[in-house]
Amino acid sequence: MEQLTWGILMVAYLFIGGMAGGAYIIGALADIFAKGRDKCKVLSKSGIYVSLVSIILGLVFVVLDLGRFEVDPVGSLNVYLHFPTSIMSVGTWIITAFTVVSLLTAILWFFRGNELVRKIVEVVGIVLGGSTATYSGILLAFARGRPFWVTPYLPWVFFISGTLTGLALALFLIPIIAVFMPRFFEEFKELVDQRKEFAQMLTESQRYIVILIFIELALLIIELGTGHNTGILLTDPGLSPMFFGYVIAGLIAPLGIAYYIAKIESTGNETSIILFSLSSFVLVLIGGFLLRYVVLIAGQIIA
Amino acid sequence: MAKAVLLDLRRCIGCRACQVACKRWNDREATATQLNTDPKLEWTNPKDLSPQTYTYMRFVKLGTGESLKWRFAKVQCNHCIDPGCVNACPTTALVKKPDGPVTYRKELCIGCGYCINACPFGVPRFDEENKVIEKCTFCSERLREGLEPACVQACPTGTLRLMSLEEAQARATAAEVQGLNTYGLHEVGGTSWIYISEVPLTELGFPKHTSKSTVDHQTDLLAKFVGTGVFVGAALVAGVKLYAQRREAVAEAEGGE
Repeated sequence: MEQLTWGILMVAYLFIGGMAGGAYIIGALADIFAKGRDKCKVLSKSGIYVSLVSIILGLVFVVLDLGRFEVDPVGSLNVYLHFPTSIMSVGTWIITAFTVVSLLTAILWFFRGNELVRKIVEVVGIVLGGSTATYSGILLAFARGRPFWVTPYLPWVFFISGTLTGLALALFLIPIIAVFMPRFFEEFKELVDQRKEFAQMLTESQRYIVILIFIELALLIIELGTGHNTGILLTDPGLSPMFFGYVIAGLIAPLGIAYYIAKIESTGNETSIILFSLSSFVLVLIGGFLLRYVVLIAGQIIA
Repeated sequence: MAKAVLLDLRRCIGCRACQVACKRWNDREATATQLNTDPKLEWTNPKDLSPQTYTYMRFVKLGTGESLKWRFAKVQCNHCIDPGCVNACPTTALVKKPDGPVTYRKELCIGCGYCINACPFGVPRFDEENKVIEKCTFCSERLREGLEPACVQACPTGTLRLMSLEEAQARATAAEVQGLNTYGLHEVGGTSWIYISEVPLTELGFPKHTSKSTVDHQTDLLAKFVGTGVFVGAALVAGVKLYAQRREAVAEAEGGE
């Protein structure tokens, strides 16, 4: 029996860490290319705040997953004591830098700091966010004892999935924040109150979701075709429901919803567009989590 | 000088003296016998490495009936020349010593478990009770005193022999010339424990590996990763551009109406 070294906490970390990187990229790009559009500013803020909360949560999960945390909690800091030669220590420095930049960007947004400074910070953050979303795939690909993970496509699957889930969560939280914290985030409330504008924003975002899903799907097909023992994903009684769950929730259903929204776009049925879009975001998030679960567990049980 | 152990499996009689000597020297507890469900391996006991078992003898039945042959293979850390576990360790808790052993310093370990996943031979084990990594140490403290590892000293047939790495590699190369199989001479860029066997070690359950060292393996992967990135980037740009063009076309059409 293979050892299950990494379990559900690591799955959660991979999912949330990737999403944090992706949400930051979306938030930063929305700001840089906003051209004065208020809805882009709202998406930018949402993406940046999501990335900050997510990366902190992800760090908590990964630290709790450390096998020696119980006996030597301060010892976790040993990871910072040496010149980074391991991909894991390189990743630790990337995530640390990303957390700082994410915090800085959130502060600059919240306290309305200088716009130029914010955009310069965001350019740095895009590189760090992209690295955060991708590095965990490289970490797995370098693990030679787990041949299922040893593939150059996995880091890109994680990158695309991180961007997709980051976009989905950033958009999903806009109405939630507008409803529960309208005093702190007035522009969120203003956007959501303008239903037509908000529905149009969600409709446009569906196009980007479709682009990302198609790229993820292409990478997945290459991965399944070239990876080690990938057929087990289709046949293993424990893994296949999760794998098909990922394919349906994370890829096929959101594509179907995007198609339906494109169909009803011209009818002006904003309520349906908003509700279907929000459902699609939830499905994308479920799919992103299942993807990490399937990859992480399969790698440890497939010989 | 870098040391190595040559394991000439043609001499092995499956006495398990190495297994017992390892337990005694390293003060490891006995583990309860578990039924090995693989009929080919039913006499293998213990059935795998564990925090209490740094080495074990794999008893492999090859063939059936008249053609049945027993083969014995000792399993332990192979002390790679470019160890994946050392490369993976983010705190340098695992180190490759100049004289050969890959050893572990628990005071630096954070318990991330990456070494377990990175080892190409699936050797390190996490001791849940004591929260430490356990594996064969090549009896590095004995080597330092000029002694042989406990298992090597206990071997009554000369299957296990301590020698310089160069000599072990030369003997294994000579064995290959004679048509014998080796393991660890080429795999993962070479290991400090090298096998000679009549049958391929992969038939005895050893994982198949290329001769790429850990660094070469990672460099190769990174090159392919960057290459894939070019395609992913191009696909993203093309997708967004296509969408922008379509949006402009729709806007123009709507404006025209």
